[in-house]
Amino acid sequence: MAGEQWAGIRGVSTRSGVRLWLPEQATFQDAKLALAKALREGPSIRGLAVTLEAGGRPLRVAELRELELLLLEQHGAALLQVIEGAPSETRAPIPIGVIPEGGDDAESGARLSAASAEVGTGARRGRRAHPSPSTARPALPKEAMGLVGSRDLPLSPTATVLVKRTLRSGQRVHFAGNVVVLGDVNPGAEIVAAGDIVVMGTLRGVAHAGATGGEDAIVAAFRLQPTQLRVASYIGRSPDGVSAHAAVPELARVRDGALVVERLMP
Amino acid sequence: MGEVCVITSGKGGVGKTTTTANLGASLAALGKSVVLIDADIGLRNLDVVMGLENRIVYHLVDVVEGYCRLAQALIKDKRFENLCLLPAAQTKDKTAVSPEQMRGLCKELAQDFDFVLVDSPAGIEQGFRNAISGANQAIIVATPEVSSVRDADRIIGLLEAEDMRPPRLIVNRLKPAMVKRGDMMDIDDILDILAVELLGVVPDDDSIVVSTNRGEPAVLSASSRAGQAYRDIARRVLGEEVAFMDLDARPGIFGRLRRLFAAGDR
Ligand SMILES: Nc1ncnc2c1ncn2[C@@H]1O[C@H](COP(=O)(O)OP(=O)(O)OP(=O)(O)O)[C@@H](O)[C@H]1O
Ligand SMILES: [Mg+2]
Repeated sequence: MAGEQWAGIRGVSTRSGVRLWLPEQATFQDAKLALAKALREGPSIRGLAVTLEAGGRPLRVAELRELELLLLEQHGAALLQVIEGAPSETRAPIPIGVIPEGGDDAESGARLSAASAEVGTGARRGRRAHPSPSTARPALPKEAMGLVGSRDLPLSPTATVLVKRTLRSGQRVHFAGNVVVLGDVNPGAEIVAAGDIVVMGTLRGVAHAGATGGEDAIVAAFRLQPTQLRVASYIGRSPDGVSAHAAVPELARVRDGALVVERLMP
Repeated sequence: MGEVCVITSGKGGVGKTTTTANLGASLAALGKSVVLIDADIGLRNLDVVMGLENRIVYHLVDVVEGYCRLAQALIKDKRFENLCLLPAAQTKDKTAVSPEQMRGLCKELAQDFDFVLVDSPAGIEQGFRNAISGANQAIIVATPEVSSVRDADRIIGLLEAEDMRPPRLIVNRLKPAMVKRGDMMDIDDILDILAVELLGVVPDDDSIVVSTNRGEPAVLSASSRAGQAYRDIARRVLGEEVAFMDLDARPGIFGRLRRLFAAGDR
C-alpha cells in the first residue's frame, strides 16, 4: 500500500487510546518515514496510548525502539502494544483523549545517561537486597533501556504520563519521565520509566524506575507484588513459590546500595 | 441485527469449542435463532462436537471463495430447527480468509440470526484476528491455571483495542475439591487479575467428554452439571439474572492454612 494513500487514513481511536497502522513499505525505514509523515500531517496524538498494527512484518527490538522514540519524542504519545500479523484496514480517525498530563512541556532537553552501576539481585521484603558481587554485571546496554539512543529528549525528566487503565499481559509503557497508572499492572505487563513509577492499584508485572540510571527513583504501589522490580540497575524479584503480600501501600527504592521495600506510610 | 459473539481464549484446549457448542444449543433451546461459525480453519472440530460431521458439503472457505452460496454451506442441526453450523475447511490454511471477508460474512449472518457465535482458534495470530474481526462482543474462556489466566489477560488487552463491548469471562474446568485444598486458583483470584464480568463457572465434568464423543452437547443432558452451568450461562447472555451454581469452591480452612504456610516459607 502506498504511503500517500495510507496517510489519509492514519488511525482510529479505540476505547483505550489510538490505533495506528504501520504502512506497508519495502523496508522498515520507508515504513517509519511514511508513518512519521502521516503523524506530522494528522491530528495530534499527544498523551494517547498507542496500539500499533505492524502488519505482516515482524518488528525487531531495535526497530520497535525507533518507533517508540518517534512517538514519544515527536508526538508525546506512549506506545502501549504492538499487534503483529494483522492486515491493514481502513477506518476514519477520531482522536480521543486518554492520558494527557504533564508531557506537554517541551522544556530544555534532558540529558539521559545510561545506567552504569552494578546489578544486584535481591529478595523483596527481606527488606534489603544487597548487590552481591557474584551476580554483578556491567552496565545494562543502552538499548535495553528503550529510552536512550537519543541524546536530547524534548521532554522534561519530570514530565509525567498518566495511564488511566489497567496494563494487561503483553502491554508495555516506556516513558522518559514519571509514569502513574490508575489501575493495575498485571503479570506479563511492563513499565519502564526514566523517573518514578506510581501504581494506584496492584503492581504484579515488571516495573523499572530510573531506567536511565536515576538511583533516586522510586516504585510505589497500592499493592506491591511485582514479578520483578528494578530501580536504575538494581534488580529485585519476587520470591519463588506462593507468597502472601503485605496489605498496605508500599514503596521500593535504593538505599545504601540495596533495593529495599518499605511501607509508604509508616 | 443479531449479536456476533466470538469465543476465544489465547491458550489452546481450554474449552472454546465446548463452550460454543453448548452455548449455541442452549440459546437455541431457549428459542433464539443461532448460527455457529467454526473459525478454526485447518483444525475444525466444532462439527464433530455437534455431531454434524457427516453432513458437511461446503465450508467457510468455499463461501468466501465463491464456490457456493452462504445458505448452501449452512448445516441445520439435528435437534434444533433454529440452530445452524458453518463448518471450517479441514485442509485450507488460515490465510485463506481475510478479516474483511469474515466481517462481511458475520454481518450477513447477523441479518438472519439472533446470535452468531464464532469459535476462535487458539493463539493471537491471523486465525484469531479473523475470528474477532466481525464480532461486537467476546466471551473469554479460561481454566483456573496461571498460564491460561495470563493468556486470557493478553487477549482482553488486545480486544480493548477493538471496537466492542468489554469481554466477559467463563471459567471452565473448575475442580472444587482442588480449590478447597488450596491447590487450584479460585474464582476470586482469577477475577482479581482479569477484572471483567463473570458470565459463568463450568465445573470439570466427565459428562463433557462423553457428550463430546457422542456429538451431543452436554446441555441436552438434564443430569450434567456442566450442562446446567452452560444453560445458566445462556440465560445470562440473554440478560436474565441467574444465581451462580453452588460449586462450593472456596478454599477450605486447610486450603487457607496451606497458603499461609507456603507464604511463610520465605
Ligand atoms: N468442563 C469440562 N470438563 C471436562 N472436560 C472438558 C471440559 N471442557 C472441555 N473439556 C475437554 O477439554 C478438551 C478441550 O476442549 P475444547 O476442544 O472445547 O477446547 P478448545 O479451547 O476448543 O481447544 P482448541 O484450542 O484446540 O480449539 C476436550 O477434550 C473437552 O472434552
Ligand atoms: Mg477448539
